[in-house]
Amino acid sequence: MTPRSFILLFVLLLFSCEKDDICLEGTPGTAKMIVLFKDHENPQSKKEVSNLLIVGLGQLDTLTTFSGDSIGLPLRNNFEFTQYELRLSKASPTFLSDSLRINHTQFDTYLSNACGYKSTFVLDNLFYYLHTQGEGWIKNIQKLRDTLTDEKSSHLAIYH
Amino acid sequence: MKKVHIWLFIISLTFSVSWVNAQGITVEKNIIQTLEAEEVVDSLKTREKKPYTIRFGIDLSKPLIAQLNKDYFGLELVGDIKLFSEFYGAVELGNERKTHQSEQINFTTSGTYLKFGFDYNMYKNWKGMNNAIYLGMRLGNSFHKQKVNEYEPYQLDHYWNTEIVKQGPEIREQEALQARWLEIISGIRVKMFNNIYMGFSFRLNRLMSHTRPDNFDNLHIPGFNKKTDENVWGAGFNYTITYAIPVML
Repeated sequence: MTPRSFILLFVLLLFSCEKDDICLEGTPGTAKMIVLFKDHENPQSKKEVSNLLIVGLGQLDTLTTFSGDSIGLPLRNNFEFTQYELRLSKASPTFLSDSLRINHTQFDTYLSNACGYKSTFVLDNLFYYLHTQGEGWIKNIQKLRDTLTDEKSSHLAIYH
Repeated sequence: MKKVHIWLFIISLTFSVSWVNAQGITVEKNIIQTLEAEEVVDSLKTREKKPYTIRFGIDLSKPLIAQLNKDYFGLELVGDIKLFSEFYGAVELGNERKTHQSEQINFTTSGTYLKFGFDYNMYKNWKGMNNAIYLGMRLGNSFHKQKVNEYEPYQLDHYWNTEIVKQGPEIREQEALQARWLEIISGIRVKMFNNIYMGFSFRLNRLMSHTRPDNFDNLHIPGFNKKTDENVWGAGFNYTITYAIPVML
């Protein structure tokens, strides 16, 4: 190799794109809170909800309209609580609405240069939720796991 | 010129001797005196004095970058001394402060570093020249601190606004951090005029050990420069102006 090609190689090394600069897809980020819907009459079994409208407090857009037995709810970063409005539309024209406030703390863990920090939420010990019922459908709430390290299993159970 | 004049003087004296014989004795005395006054130097026996190189100076690139980039401050003092044949002992002492804004994190690194090692000159100088094309090695050590100024948490879901964290347990300065690395250097050094030399060197750095800050990383190390997540290699350069102390031994 000639000296010139060495210099070229060096310059390429200096300015080339590194893996470092891109946060790879699939890097586990801040975990959502996984909510499992259960039957209040038969606490062992899951019970699906249908057409559950989920809106965050103060948000104009709905998070989703959900049907199924478990959903992940994102929690608010840098806040002490996250509040969601959960409206269940039955066949009747009226909504059954519950407001659920989750109290949480968080700690942040360094991942890498490109990804930065990931947050891990911890549900508060005793008063981890505040449930304000309008004409509600939620009968009971139970904490399953209090540290949201991953999304592999449910953190909160809602009985209805 | 002086010798020629002296000889002319002597020759003219001898002529005058032939003309004025009566003053012969005094004239001969004069000739002996002038010959004695001239010191006889045998040039073969005296050892030629060589410059004994001790150089010191600064890296010009760092103050220049500091002028262009307000988030950077840097100063590096360099020095080297000729040890034997073509080996030079070399040191670099520097101080750096750099604020870096990456994709997610804004942090400031500040600290001091010391590098010492040797250069081996491969350039065959002509007599009287003192230039160098050299290869070298350094052992570097930094004493630095890392401060996280702010960061944006990595979030896949954007339903809620992701706020930039500006205060909290992770917004802090971590002191007493160290890093140790090895540098492989190639560079040139050219005598500009009198005792002033200018030099340029490329450095390939290999990190050997470092104390990682708690829940963060040494993303920048003074003297080592950028450290990537994946590997232990780094790169650097300097552009020096040095002054050679005129010591003749």
